[in-house]
Amino acid sequence: MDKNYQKKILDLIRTDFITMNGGKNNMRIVIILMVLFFGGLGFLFSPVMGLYVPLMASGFLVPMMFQNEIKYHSEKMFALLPIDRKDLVRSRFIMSIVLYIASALLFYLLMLISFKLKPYYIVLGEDALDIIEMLAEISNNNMTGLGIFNLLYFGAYSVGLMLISANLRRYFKNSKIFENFFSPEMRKATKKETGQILFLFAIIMVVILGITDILPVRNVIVPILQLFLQLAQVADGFLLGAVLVTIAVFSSIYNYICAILEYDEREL
Amino acid sequence: MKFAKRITAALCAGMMLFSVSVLSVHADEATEKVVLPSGKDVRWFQLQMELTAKENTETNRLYASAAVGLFQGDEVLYTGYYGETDIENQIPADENSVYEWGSISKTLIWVSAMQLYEQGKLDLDRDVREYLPDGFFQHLAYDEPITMLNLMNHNAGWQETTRPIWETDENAILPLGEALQAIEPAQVHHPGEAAAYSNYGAAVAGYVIECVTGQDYCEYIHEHIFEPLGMEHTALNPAHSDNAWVQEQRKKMKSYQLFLGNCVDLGNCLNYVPAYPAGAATGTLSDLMTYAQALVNEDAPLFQNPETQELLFTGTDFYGDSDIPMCAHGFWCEEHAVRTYGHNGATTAGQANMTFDLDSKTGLVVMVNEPNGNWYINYTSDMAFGELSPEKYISGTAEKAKLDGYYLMARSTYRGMLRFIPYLTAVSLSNLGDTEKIGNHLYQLRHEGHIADETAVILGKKIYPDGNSAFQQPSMDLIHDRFYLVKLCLFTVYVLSAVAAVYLMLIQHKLKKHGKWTIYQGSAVMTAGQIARLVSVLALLGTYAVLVSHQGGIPFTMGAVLGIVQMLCIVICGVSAVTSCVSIFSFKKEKMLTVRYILNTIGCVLPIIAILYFEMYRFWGC
Repeated sequence: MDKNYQKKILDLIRTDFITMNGGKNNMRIVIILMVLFFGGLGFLFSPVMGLYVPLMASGFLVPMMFQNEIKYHSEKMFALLPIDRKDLVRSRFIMSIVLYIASALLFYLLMLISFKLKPYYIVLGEDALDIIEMLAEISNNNMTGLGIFNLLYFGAYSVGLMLISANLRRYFKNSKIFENFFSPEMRKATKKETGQILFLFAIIMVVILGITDILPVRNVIVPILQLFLQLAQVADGFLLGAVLVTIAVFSSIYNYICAILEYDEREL
Repeated sequence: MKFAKRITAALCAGMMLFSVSVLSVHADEATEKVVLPSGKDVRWFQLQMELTAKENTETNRLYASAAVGLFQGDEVLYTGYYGETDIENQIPADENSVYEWGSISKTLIWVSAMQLYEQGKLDLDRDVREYLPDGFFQHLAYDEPITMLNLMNHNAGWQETTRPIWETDENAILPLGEALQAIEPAQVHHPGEAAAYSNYGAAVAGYVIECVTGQDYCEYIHEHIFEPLGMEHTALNPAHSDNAWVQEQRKKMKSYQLFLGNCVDLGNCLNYVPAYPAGAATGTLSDLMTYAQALVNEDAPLFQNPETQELLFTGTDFYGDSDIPMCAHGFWCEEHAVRTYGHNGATTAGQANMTFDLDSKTGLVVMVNEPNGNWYINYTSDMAFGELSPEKYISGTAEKAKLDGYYLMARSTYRGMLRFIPYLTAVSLSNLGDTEKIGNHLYQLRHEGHIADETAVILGKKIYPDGNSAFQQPSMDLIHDRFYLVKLCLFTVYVLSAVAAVYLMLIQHKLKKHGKWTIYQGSAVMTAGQIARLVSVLALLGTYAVLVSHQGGIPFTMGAVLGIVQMLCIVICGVSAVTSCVSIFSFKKEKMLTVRYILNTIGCVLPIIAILYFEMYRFWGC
C-alpha cells in the first residue's frame, strides 16, 4: 500500500469521525455512559458484566458511527467525490474494527485486573458470587478460572466482531434499514435476524440433544466438541480464543468482500 | 459432611422406610451392629440404601434398578434389590434378575491362571507366545516377551483396539482365537513399560488358558470355578448359551440411561463380545457374591493351596517406587480407609462392582442396568470401605508440588486413523490444582469426600527407559508429551483450514454471482484443494461417527473407504500446493495473487502434514 493510498484511507476515516461528531443528541453519549456503567459495574462487582460491552458494541457501533450520515443523507456526497467505493468500504471496515478491537482490549484488561485483584470481595464481602471460579469448579478443574475468563471474553469478542462486520455489510447494502427502527426494511432485516437467531438456537439445541443422546447426531458432534473442550483446557483458553477469533476474522473478510461487491452495484 | 444430613433425615424417616417398595433382606439386630471398614455399621448402610430408594420416584428417577450385596466372610450382611429391570412392563429387580459383570469377568481369567500356575502348567513369567499357536500375533512391534504378568498388569503394550469388539448378531460370533486375531490392535508401548487397560490383552490371557488346558475357556471356568462354588445362575459365553436360564432371564432385562430425572429406555442391549473372557459373564447378584466370598475365604476353595490365593492378592504393579500396590495379579487395589481388592465392569447394558477387604473379609457387590452413572455404583464402596484419609501417608505439613505439562492417556489409539483421539483427551495436571508430595515418586491430591470431609487420591510417578515420565493411576498411565501443544495446534490448523476453505468457496461463489470472478493460473486446482480440505475434515468426523455407532471400532471396509478418501485428499492437496508454489515463481502477476498462492500453499501443506502425522489414511494393521 503506497503512502498516498494510506493517506487517502486515513482521510476517509477522519471524514467519518467528523461526521460522527457533527450532530446533537447523538447516541455517542448513551454509549459512553453505558460503557462507563458496565465497565464500573464489571470492575467492582463481577468481571462477567464486562461481557455486555462487546455484545452491545457490536449492535450499536455501526448505527452510532453512521447516524448523522443516515439522518442527513450525506452518503450521497461520496457519490459526487472522486472516491473509489471500494476505498470507502475499506476505510469504514478498518475504522469500525479498530475501534471495536481497541474498546475490546480496554475492557478485557480492565476485567482481567478485576478478576485477578477481585475487588468484588471487598465491595460485596465474602458472599460475592465469583461466577468464573464457580464455572471452573463445575468443569471439574479441567479448566482454570483464567481459562474460563478467556473463553467467555474471546467468545463474546468473536461473536461481536462477526456481528459488526455483518452490520457494516448490511449498511453498505441498504443504509435505509438503519434510518428507522420501524421502517419496513428494518422489519424485514429484523425478521431475517430473528430467523438467524432461531437458527443459531436450533443448532445449540441440536448440540445439547445430540450430546445427551436424544438425537442421533452425537457421533458427529462429539469430536468437534472434544476439540473445543481440549483447546479450552490448554494454555488458559488462549488457544481456543485464537481459534474463535480466527473464525471471526474469516467471517469479517467474507462480509468485507460481500460489502465491496454489493456497495459497488448499489444505486445511491 | 454430606451424609450427616441424610443420616438425620433417615433416622427421622424411621418406620416410613419399611414401606419402601424394595425387596431387601433385613439383617437381624446383631448383624445390623456389625461395623464396616468405613467405621459405619450395617444399619447405617442399609438406611442409606433405602433412603435413596425412597427418593427414587417415577417423576424423579435416580436409577433404573440396582442389586446390592454386602458380606463379611460367610455371612451375608445385606442384600437389596431396587427399582425395575424393565420399567415399561414393571418387572422389579429381585434375586432372579441377571446383570452383566462386564470386566469383572476378567478376574475369572486371573483366578484360572493362578490355578494353572499352582499346578505348574503355566509360568507367569514366560512369553505367552510359547503357549499360543505359532504366528498368533500379526502386529507386534517389539521383540520383548509378553508374559502372563504383563497381561495381568495391562502393560503388554497394546493400544485400544480399533476394530469393533461387540457383535449384535449372535450368528456372527467367531471362535475365541479367530475373534482375537480379527481385532488385534497395534503394539505401541514396550511390554512392561506403560500400563494401558486392555480388553484384548485380557482376552488373550483367556485364550492362553484355553491353549494350556486344551479345553474350551468357558467349559474350563464352569468346571473349575462355577461348579465348585455352586454358581448355577451365571453364564459366560458371548450369547449366554452355556446357561439357558440366564439366557432367558437376560432377555427380560432392559437397559436405561438416566436423563433429567427420567430413565431413557435403551432396550435389551443384547450385544455379544466374541472376545468373551474380557467381559461376557452374566448372572445373579447371589452368584457374584458367592464368587467374591470365595476369594476372601481363608480356605481358598478355588485353589489347592491357600498360599496361591495369598499370592494372587500380592501386588504386581506399584505406585511410583512405593510398596502401595496398584494391581495384584489382575485385581485392582484401591486405597479406601482400608486397602481393598476387586474389579469393576461396564458394558453397553450395565455396570457392576466387586470390592473386598481381605483383612476384615468384608465385601461389596453392586450390579445395575445402566451403562453410565448410577448412585449405587458411585457411592456404595466408599460407604462400606470408607475413604482414604489425606493424613494416612503424610504426617505433619505436606510439601506442595505443582505438576505441570500435558499428559496423554496410555489407553488410547496411537496407530491408525484414530490417532487423533489421545490428543483430544489429554490431561493438564496443573489444572488439578496443588498436589502434595509423599515421597518415593508418590503424590496425593486432596478433594472433598463423600462421607469424610476430605479425602485424597494417590498418583504415582514413573520414568520410562527413554527418560519420558508418566503418572500412574489404576488401569492406565498418563504419559507426558513435551510437544503436545504443537501437535494440538497442528490438528487445530487442520480443522481451521477446512473452515477457511468454506469461506473461500463462499467468496468465490459471491464473486461469480457478481460477475467479478476471474480465472487465473491454477485457480481450478486451488479450488479442488479447498474441497479436498473440507472433505478430509468431514471424513475425519465420519471416522468418529463410524467408531461410535459400531460399538467402539471401525469395520475394515468402512475404514478402507475413509482411509482411501483421506489418501485422495492428500494427493489433491499436494497437487494444489505444488501448483500454487510453482505459480509463485512462474510469471509476473499482481501482489495479491502472490499472497493467494502463498496462502494456498500453506493451507494445503499443513493439512497434508496433519493427515500424515495423525495417520488418518491408515486403515490397516491397527
